[in-house]
Amino acid sequence: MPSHARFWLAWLTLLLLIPGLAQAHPHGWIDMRVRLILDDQGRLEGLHQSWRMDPFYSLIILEELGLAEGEGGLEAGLDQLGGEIRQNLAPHDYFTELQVGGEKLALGEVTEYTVMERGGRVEFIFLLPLETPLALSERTLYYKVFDPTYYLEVVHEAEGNTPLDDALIVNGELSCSTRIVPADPDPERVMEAAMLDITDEAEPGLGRYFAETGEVTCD
Amino acid sequence: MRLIAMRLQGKGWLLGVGLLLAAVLVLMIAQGSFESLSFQLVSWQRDFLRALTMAITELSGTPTPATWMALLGISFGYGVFHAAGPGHGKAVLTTYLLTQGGAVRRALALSFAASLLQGIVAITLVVVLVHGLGWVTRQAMGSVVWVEQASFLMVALLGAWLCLRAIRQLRRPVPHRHDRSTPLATEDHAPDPYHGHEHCCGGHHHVDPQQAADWRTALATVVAIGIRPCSGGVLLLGAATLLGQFPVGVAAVLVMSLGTALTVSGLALASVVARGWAERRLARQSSMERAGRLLGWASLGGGLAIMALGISLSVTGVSQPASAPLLGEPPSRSAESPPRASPFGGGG
Repeated sequence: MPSHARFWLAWLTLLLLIPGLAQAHPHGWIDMRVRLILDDQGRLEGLHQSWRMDPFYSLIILEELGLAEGEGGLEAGLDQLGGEIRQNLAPHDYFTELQVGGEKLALGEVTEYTVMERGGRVEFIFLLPLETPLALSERTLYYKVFDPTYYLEVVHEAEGNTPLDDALIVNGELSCSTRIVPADPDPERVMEAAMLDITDEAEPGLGRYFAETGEVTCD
Repeated sequence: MRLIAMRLQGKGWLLGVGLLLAAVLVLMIAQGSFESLSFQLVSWQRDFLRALTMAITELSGTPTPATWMALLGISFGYGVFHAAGPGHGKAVLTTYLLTQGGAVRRALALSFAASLLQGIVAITLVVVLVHGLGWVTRQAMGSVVWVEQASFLMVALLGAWLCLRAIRQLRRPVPHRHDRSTPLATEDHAPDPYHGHEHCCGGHHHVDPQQAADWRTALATVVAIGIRPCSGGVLLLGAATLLGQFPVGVAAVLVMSLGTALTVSGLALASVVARGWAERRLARQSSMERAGRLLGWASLGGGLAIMALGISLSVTGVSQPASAPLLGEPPSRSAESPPRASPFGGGG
């Protein structure tokens, strides 16, 4: 019965997809603001990012800090948290990918960072420097910030579906236009990414396909 | 027979719904739009997550009937879409129904029981670990990993059990006692209430899904897949506790489970319909004996598939990270803590 055989084949394929797809949804999110830091020669030095964690995640982080209080209070706890986050993110390039002219930019080490609590939301603010400053005039920079596992979704601060004006700004002399492009993933790529085993070497990460792209074009 | 009449009556619309779902599924797979649908589902689900978080936060400020209604509505929607993606629970349940058989009523019962159990386990985890033992929420979320491993293991065991059962059935010689194949034969002929469902295997009404009705494996299926809560549910309950709104969180999680149950039962019904269709075809094309054997092989195949899924899941353990990669491991609990050396706790 070929029709039966085909049915079972499809079923088996579906079963094999399960381990990859089961995690295919975010459990929390980060509202992000990005500021490009340019030096006086119009070279990009780094990205100043501030990440606001969603209310629930913020709550449970603050819960932990509150319990650990005692030595130094909440402030000390937040400082320590900043160090931990930095340490956890360093191997992942701080979830950030930068591209100019099809080339991926090398990133430096984050040394300036801080964590604070504002209006019940925990905010991680840091300056991500480029390894070497890069002249931006007459070029377009593309960047994506995403959690590869897609456990957390990273999005620019927005009101409804419209990004806020200050979600992406450029600091410096150059005049640049900015744009935040919503994710428009090629479904097939998404499927492929979901199927990748965590041990696979190919660029992993479902998060990439759901990430917004920031575009900055300078004169 | 009142029972049969009732079943026929009640089954009509359910069959319709199931057929429709199956048709939609087949159509989508055929047109290759399955993938884009799954993307659409992810984005809907994401919107619901945001709305849900906001609704609970709002409720802790000004609880009005309107905010309650909004919360419950959003929870339900979140549950529906949350369950719409592939997941191992659904894979196990549909494989079980497809290969072991089961009536519409059983499919519905299994779906609802498994979904509700998932919600109840999340609630129990938070009550015991957070309220009882004073753990912080993130540690409770970390414990999900362990419960999940247990669930995978139980899935593998369930598969093994189903295999054994199928092998026993296949090796059993085809009974020649009832030569007249009237559907009533077994009912007239069931002196032993404990084996009422078993002794007819390979016999007369293999087309009747009730034949394979074995509530022990059904129960095992419910437990194996229902015992695994979503860490998102634990997160929600923990956050609601911190807002002083634990009951709100419980209500949200239970309503969410109902939404999940709705989606899962859709899938389950589709499996029942598909199975029924295959059985009818088989009955038309082959002899009773051959059909019985084929169904036995199908049970064996299903058992194997479920076992393989359980084993591969417990080996890879990739189904969900215990915490955000951003934060790494939750703080360890010094003396009274369970071992926290999970292979994929932090990821970061």
